[in-house]
Amino acid sequence: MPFSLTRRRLLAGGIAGGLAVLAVPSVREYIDLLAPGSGGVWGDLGPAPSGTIDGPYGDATVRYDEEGVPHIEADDERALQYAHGYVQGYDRLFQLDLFRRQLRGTLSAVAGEVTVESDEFHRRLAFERAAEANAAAISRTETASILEAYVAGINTAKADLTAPIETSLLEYDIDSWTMTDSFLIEKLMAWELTGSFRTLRRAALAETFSPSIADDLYPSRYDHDVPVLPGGRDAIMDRSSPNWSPPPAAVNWLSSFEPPAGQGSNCWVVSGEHTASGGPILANDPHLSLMAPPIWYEVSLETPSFATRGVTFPGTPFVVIGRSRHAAWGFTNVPADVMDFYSFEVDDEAYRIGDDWLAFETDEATISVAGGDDRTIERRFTNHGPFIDRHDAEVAIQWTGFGGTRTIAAIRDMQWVDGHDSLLEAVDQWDLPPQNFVYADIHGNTRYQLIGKIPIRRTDGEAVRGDQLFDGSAGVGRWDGFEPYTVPTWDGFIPLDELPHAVDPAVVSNANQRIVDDPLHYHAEIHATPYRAERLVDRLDAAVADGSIDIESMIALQQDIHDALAEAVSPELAEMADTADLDAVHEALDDWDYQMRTDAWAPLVFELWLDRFRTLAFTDPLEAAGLDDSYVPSDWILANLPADHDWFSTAGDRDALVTEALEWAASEAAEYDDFGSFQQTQIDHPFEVGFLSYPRYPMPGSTHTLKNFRRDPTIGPGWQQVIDLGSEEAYGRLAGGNIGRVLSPHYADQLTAWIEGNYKPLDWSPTETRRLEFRGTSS
Amino acid sequence: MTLNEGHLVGVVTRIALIRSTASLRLALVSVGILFGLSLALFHWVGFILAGFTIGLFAASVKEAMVAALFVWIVVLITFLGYATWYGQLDRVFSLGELTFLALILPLALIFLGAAVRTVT
Repeated sequence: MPFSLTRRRLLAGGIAGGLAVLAVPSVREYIDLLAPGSGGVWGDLGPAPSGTIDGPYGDATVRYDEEGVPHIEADDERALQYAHGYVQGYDRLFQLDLFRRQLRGTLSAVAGEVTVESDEFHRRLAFERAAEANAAAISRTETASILEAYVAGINTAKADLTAPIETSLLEYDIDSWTMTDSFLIEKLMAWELTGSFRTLRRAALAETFSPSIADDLYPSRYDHDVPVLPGGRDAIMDRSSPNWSPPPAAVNWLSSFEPPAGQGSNCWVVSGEHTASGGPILANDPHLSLMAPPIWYEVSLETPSFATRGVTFPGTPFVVIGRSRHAAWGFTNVPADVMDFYSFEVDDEAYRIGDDWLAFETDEATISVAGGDDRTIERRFTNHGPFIDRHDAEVAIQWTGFGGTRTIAAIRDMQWVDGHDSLLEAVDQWDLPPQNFVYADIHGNTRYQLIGKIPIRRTDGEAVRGDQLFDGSAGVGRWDGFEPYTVPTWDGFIPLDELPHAVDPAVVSNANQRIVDDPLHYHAEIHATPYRAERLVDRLDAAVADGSIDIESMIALQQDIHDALAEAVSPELAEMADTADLDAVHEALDDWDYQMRTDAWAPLVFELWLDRFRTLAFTDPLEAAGLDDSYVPSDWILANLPADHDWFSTAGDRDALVTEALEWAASEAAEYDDFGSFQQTQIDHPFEVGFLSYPRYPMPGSTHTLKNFRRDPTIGPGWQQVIDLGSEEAYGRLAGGNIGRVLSPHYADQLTAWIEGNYKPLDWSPTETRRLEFRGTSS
Repeated sequence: MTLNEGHLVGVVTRIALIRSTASLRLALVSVGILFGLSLALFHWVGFILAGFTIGLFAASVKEAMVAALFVWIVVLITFLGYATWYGQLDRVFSLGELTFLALILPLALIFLGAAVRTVT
């Protein structure tokens, strides 16, 4: 029948059309990703790895607890680390690959054009050569053989288990892991904590505005009286003004690859004489970038000779922060000056040092770009390190991280530390990044020690400060015992016993502030603003005075949300709001207790004012002068730079700017219910797609509170621990989830407890939810 | 009548025989669905194949559509039940639109295969 035939033809056409749609490559790609059963997105659906697996280094047992934390036991340390590599190789495989690609400068091979600049920066600095120097620094040591087993474990997991969802999305396969890759992770963390172009920015500020403005916006110390170790020593040499500067565009470019501003930490130890248990209590919460999955990986490791529990970085086999059966330790960043900049007289292929002309060491590096044209860059190196010639800059960068460092051996040796002597032996190998190290043990020992290799720069044999630009051709600012991309002797660096330290202090605390008023050696351009430190010292002093120091009170201290900057400036703001007839703002700020609570309105107004005033007073005038927002000075300067300072003749009248920012804040605050509706967690996956990122929740605290939180970029206490060496109780919390597979129940299962400050016991015997057995296949 | 036309008539006759024989139809459709869904664990073409088997042997267009819907519901229950069993259901739904698309996708593929009933 004609009608039926027509209908059939139409339907057949519909089916053919449907099949034709399936033939479109982009449609097929989506179906390949999403189809239940075979879709790449669903690779992790179903049971996580369990059962029995071959263990080429011997027997080991992995018991996962209720929050996805592996507790690994073995008789042999290599068997232990093979199993550890295996579980990290499943739990964090994409993150491992992402981190190494960032430092190797190979992100663009999978991410495309968007990361070409990052790849160029990392290639020019040749982090991979520095990582190879690390391998040389620990070659033929026991640590190297342990690391080999760990690397083998990662590669077995990579070969045997499902690929991460991210590789399906980007359509690539992850290469094998190597020992050098683990050292790249170490370099990444070192860069995150010491990579700073502040010296260049100060020089560019001086060139653009004036040396006095540069000195005042970028001071060498903040005027406060809460150094880590009260009391001074010898006076340190004076600071000099910059005498040259790379072009601002070059400094802007370099600064864009700096770690985010605002990273820091809190750490303190109280000796047994002041605690309820009679043993020392140690608390530590490092504030690094918050991301999904976290930068920290929680693990427990045990052999007959040691047991450690805490956190490490993906790619690192040993517990970095945590506890053993008899000790606990933690860190804050110094932040030390371990990077210098050198100009040279250059003649095509050579640079001058004294009367000699040395040929640049040169090579070519090709950056592969997915979906784009590959780039080839010529790299030049001097005897002071990589020579950067982008944006008309001609500057060599020397960084201790370009040398072969042995930090991984120090971390491993912490497993056995049981007193001051073994501690010093371990941390003497801690080369980079310099850290404030805090220690306590069950014998009652406590210690504060600045650790890490910090150069003593010498010009004509005299020690000089590092916050200046050196004339490399004149041979000034030399580091003895260091040559980039080789294993340093560290001969010309500050010896461990000349770095600030305190043996068995009753109370010592640290929030990245100045360590001592007058250090024996120059070690940092600037330390953190003192807002957290002042609050920490005040509350610890009060707790010592009323004898209330126990685990609960120390957890409460880590959760403190009193904003000392708000306390310092709010009275002035309230007064100016009154003058400007901003009644609601005046009332809120006048009655405020400076607690950064999510259910309050005053912290919302304050944070909005702070953001706006920073923009009006600094960001805008700096940008008008061609300097990007990396030049914005600290909030200490924002709060304390006097109204009659020269800067405000450029930026505008200070009081008018304060009032304008208040008016703006009052208007903007009307858009929100309270502080919690404005400040949310915003902890994202590097892809920045919703389903891989953590859900948003209201988040209390600020960049100046002990419970530290920065919105953009998101920084906070990714790991929190409080350990009582008297009762041997320990509590902690990870920001997010331990397993970086998006379908894992442990992808984000600790997030809300972390926000609420609800800690968990860091026990040695977990409630087992899943088990992996490694059975030895060789002796 | 050419040789090929002869074969075609034979195939059509056999399909008609299967469609009119309930037990045979049920057996072949079941085998086809099982094979298709098993294949779908490795490639999504399995969903189309399962639907195609339904469409080829169903007694009517209505029966084909009902059977296709049934198979989709089985796929949904299996997929979500599996996620529930391993404690991943909330994680699956945390993927939002991706999960919604993933759940709709088998329906579209199975119905595309089953639509062959409308032209045979």
